[in-house]
Amino acid sequence: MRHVRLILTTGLLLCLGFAALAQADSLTADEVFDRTRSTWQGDSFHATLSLDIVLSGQTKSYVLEVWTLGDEAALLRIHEPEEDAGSGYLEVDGKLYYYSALLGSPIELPAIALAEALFGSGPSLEDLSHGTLSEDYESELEILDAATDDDPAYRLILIPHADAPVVYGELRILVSAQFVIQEIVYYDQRGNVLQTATFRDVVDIDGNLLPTTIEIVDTHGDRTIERILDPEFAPELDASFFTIETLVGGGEP
Amino acid sequence: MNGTLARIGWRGLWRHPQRTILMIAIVAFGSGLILVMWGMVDGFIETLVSTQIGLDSADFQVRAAGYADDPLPKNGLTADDVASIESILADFPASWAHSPRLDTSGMLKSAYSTLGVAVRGVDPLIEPRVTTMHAMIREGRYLAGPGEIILSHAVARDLDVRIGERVVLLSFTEGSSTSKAFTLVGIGDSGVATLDAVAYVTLDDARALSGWDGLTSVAVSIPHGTNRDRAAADLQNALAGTVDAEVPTYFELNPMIRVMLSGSAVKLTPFVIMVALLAGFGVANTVFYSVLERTREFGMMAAVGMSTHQLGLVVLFESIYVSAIGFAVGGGIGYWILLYLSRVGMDFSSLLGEIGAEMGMPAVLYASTSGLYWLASFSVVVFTGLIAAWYPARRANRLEPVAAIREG
Repeated sequence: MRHVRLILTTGLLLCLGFAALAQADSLTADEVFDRTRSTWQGDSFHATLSLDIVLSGQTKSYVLEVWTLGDEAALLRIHEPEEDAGSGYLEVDGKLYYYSALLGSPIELPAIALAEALFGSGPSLEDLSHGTLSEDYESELEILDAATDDDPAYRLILIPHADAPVVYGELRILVSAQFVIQEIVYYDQRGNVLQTATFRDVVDIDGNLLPTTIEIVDTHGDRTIERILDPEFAPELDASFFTIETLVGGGEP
Repeated sequence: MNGTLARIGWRGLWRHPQRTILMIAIVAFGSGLILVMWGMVDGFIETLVSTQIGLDSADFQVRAAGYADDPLPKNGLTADDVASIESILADFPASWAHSPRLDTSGMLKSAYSTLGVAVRGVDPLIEPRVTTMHAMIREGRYLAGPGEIILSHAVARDLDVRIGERVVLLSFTEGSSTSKAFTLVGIGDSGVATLDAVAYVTLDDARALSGWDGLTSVAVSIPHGTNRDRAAADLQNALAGTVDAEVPTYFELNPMIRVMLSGSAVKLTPFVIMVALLAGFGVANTVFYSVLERTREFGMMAAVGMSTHQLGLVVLFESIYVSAIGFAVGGGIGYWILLYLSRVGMDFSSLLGEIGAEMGMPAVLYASTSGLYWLASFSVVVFTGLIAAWYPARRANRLEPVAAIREG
């Protein structure tokens, strides 16, 4: 299930964060990041997600429902596959809980599991969620020739500072003329590509441009494809929803 | 007269050289085996203890009372405790070296992988006075300042990280986590799996990661030959009433190893007896048949005036010769093997596997060459000689000359 959390963390933060670029009125990289951070924090979100995880040629599919309340809390419930239906994860107050419908009782996962999930999501994404991107990276903005709104119009090149808690050597992010993220390429410290995340099938929801399909491919050919179904921005959610009782009982907001 | 009997015994021995060589080989094998076994076991213990003391634990440590029950930094020594301990240690001989340490744990992340590691914060200038970990660096260099990290070959390989590359260490404190970037400056190889899972950083970095401004231990090293237990007890007494701390020695820090090693010599005794019996019965069997074959000869010797007592002595001399030569050969070869193994060592990593690694055993063990093993080996020879001589000599002693000549 690490992949599930990984994708949730990455996908949602990126989608929410970079869709907000459309509101940015400055084109310097640092200002874009600052605007991104200030825009998405505190938002609530609800969506159904489908995940196809391809590892060593074998595909496993999930259907999940997720609710988030900014970076304060998140609840994830698994609907498919059948053997995992009803199980889920709850992240609240810095703790991570797992509920297995099969076992019938929730358990708190060690802090290391939470860190692993966040860590695995990639520093750039973690940084986005905590607003430290411009502190940790030397950023550079390239203007590209974009013939259409769907073409890449900007390339952000992020190079971590020597003392930044980032393991990547460089991140290259393509953004469309509509300020929608299109691709992130992760490089190691030797200049090799580690993985590439592409974002497509952009939809406009209440002025928010949201890529609804995210595909992450690593150098081994393993890939994860996440599709966001029925996304809902700023639904009525409050902290009382994110409880162990909701995790176990399967309640709705 | 005994000189004549000794000569007769010696000549009789070499009338059947193959049989004699076989008997010598049995004794040599038994005595050599005991020598090597005992030397290896003692060498194993010495290697284990000296490696761990030299690389890791030092002779003893000062820890906060109760730290071992819940070994988290917050249960370690406070900054005030550390100041008091250092003040007290200043009253002990200047030859005592001590080094501050802060042990914690974390997740180490590279661009390719994530690994759980033990983290040890040390003062790079002081720690080499206490342990030899700095000498285990095989690539790069030892710690010089903050933001640097040393990893083992195993960890560096698992993370696929190279010298000069950045890794991120994530540490957990009460309900929160702290991440910090480190540059890999050195890759070491202690040969001890438990130590190879340790990431070494500076004390300041460990404090920043753990959020604890004290220490988890002060490692103390004393000159070779100093009584470790007594020195630890002296320090414990000096600390009493000032700091609520304990001073565990290596064996107190590793009770499992103490249990495992306690009475190893006693545990080996049944093995020694078994080998002695096997060698003894092997030689006795050969000597016995030698006596049976020579019944007519003994009858003739008795008929020309040799007493049965003297015949018994001839057989006894033969056994003594066999045992002495066998001991010389077996002891010589065995000791040569021990000398070789004490220098080159034996790689037990595949044999001991993960269990050995978990117990902190080094992969390569070196034999010990104490002269005491000769004694154990000699016991085999005495045993062998007694068994080998007793029954055949008894039979020779009871020969009736006429019956023996007729029987032969």
